[in-house]
Amino acid sequence: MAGIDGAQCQPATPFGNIVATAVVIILFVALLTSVPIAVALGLASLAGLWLIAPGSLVLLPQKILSGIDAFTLLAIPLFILAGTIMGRGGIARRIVNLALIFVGRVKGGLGFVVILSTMFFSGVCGSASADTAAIGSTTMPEMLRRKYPKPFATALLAASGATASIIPPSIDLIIIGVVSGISIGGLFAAGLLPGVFNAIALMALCYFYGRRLDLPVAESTSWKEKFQVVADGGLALLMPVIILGGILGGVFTPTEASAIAVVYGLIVSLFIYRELSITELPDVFLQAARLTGMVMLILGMASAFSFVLAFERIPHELAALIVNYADRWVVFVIIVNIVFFLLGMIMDALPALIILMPILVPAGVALGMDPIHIGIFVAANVTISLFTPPVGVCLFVACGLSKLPIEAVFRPLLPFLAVLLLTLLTISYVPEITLFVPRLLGY
Amino acid sequence: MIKILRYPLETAICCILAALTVVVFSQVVARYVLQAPLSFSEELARFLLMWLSMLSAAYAFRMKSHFALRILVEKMPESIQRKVSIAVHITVTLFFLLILYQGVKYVLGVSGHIAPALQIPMEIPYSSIIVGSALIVWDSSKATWLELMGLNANLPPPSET
Repeated sequence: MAGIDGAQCQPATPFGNIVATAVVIILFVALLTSVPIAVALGLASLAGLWLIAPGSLVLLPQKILSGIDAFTLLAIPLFILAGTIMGRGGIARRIVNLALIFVGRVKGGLGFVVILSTMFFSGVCGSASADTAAIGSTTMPEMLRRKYPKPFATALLAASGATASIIPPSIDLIIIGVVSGISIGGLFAAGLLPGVFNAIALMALCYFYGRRLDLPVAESTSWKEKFQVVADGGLALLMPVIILGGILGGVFTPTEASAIAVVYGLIVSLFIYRELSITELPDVFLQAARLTGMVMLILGMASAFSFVLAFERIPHELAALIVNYADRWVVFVIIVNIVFFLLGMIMDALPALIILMPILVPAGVALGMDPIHIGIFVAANVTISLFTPPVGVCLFVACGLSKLPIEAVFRPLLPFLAVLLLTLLTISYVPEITLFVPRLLGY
Repeated sequence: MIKILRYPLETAICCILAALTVVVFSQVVARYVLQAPLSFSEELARFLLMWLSMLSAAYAFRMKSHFALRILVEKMPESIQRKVSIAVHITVTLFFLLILYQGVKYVLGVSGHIAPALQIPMEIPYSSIIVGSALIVWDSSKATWLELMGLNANLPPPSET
């Protein structure tokens, strides 16, 4: 076969490599024929290992297991679980109520409420889709009741749920930290300001729409009612303070914080708010397990895939290629942003993060960038892919809540996309936004 | 009790997730309150995570919730969609059958290795991949079978015109 000859001569470019070519073709054929992403990565790694040496297939289970075997990764299931508990246990609803008394009276104020609540809830929940679902299930009916245009409300929820996910704790940041060896505490500290910056930009857009569409304001509330809402929601608001304060202040590690979040969420939902009964717990646990299983299997398979690529020296050649074209960090940033934006359009960003970040971070550092800054601007880029069609999970969740077909939201999404691309560029090119907090805390 | 027997996978997942929370939480408590860091908690938590990941992955397959790209397939006619769906089920089954086989080989290969802190054989954490793949093979071959039967039962005989 011609392929075998091809394998023996030294490849000039990454794509002259027969194993790499076969692996990439198999990956894309499998992805396009709706094979689950984790299995598609597994099949590609299987083919790669077989081409390298048919006897090496036993490396497959080994690499899958080593990909999921890290103490820091424990934060993933636990933050997912914490988010699920707090969504069901009334904590999300109280955050919404709190936001409502502060900004509900502004024109388009419910939009502000959506943005602020997704941001605060993201401070306790690691997953963007759980955040969107938890906040959306309370705010979407409210927006529709107050005659917000359905497509606008859906686009707003999807965009703010997605971009809020850069606020720590965040599953993407944990994974970026683990695969590219950056301090997760440092990444968490760095995610804070860009998250707030995105939220402010979204609120500005929302204010503009509030004027133009003449959106209604919330009913006014008496001081007594306001006091009640604050007293009732205090415990919910304390949560992000404990979690983030604890991590950023160095009191506990992100992994430990995730367990504390679960315990706190359980105590508050079961015994104080009493909105969750013990009999519902198995259901909550299984809901969290489903997302955990999806994420962890992708993580395992992607590390097997990364191993195959590394064996063929693809990361090395790709990094050389990047540094060859992007000789200055300004160019590097734009190339990386375009790559992740395009990848994010067609597939879930998780495998791309796992495979590409270990390559890109050293390449960027070689150009004089701070690894934390690279991690954050890529994470900010990835949050955009969470609400862009055709595969954004937050968009699916938001459309599910408003019962709109995805096509109906395309146009109203465009202004949100434009604004968030602008903030992405700002975050990418002004490292101070990202690095201010971690430097302050000494990371 | 009956529920536990009827849903062994679900029960196992809930127990592991609960155990994971307890282990990591008690690590913090031991360090700050008792001033005595636990020696085994980190390793135990990592092993629980392996089991949780593999069992949850199997559970996610059972609930058909793994991420997949369906944009292209959804544009195709119904009959082709079904064929693709059957092909995907068969691919998943065969793939995890292979992982199962290689997993057994791998686990047999590590026999004799002992985990440093817990002093238990490494077969215990690593077997998770065997159990997980076996469950996925079982569920996806069942799904293949059901889909094949459904194809025969629901569709009118293909008109050749």
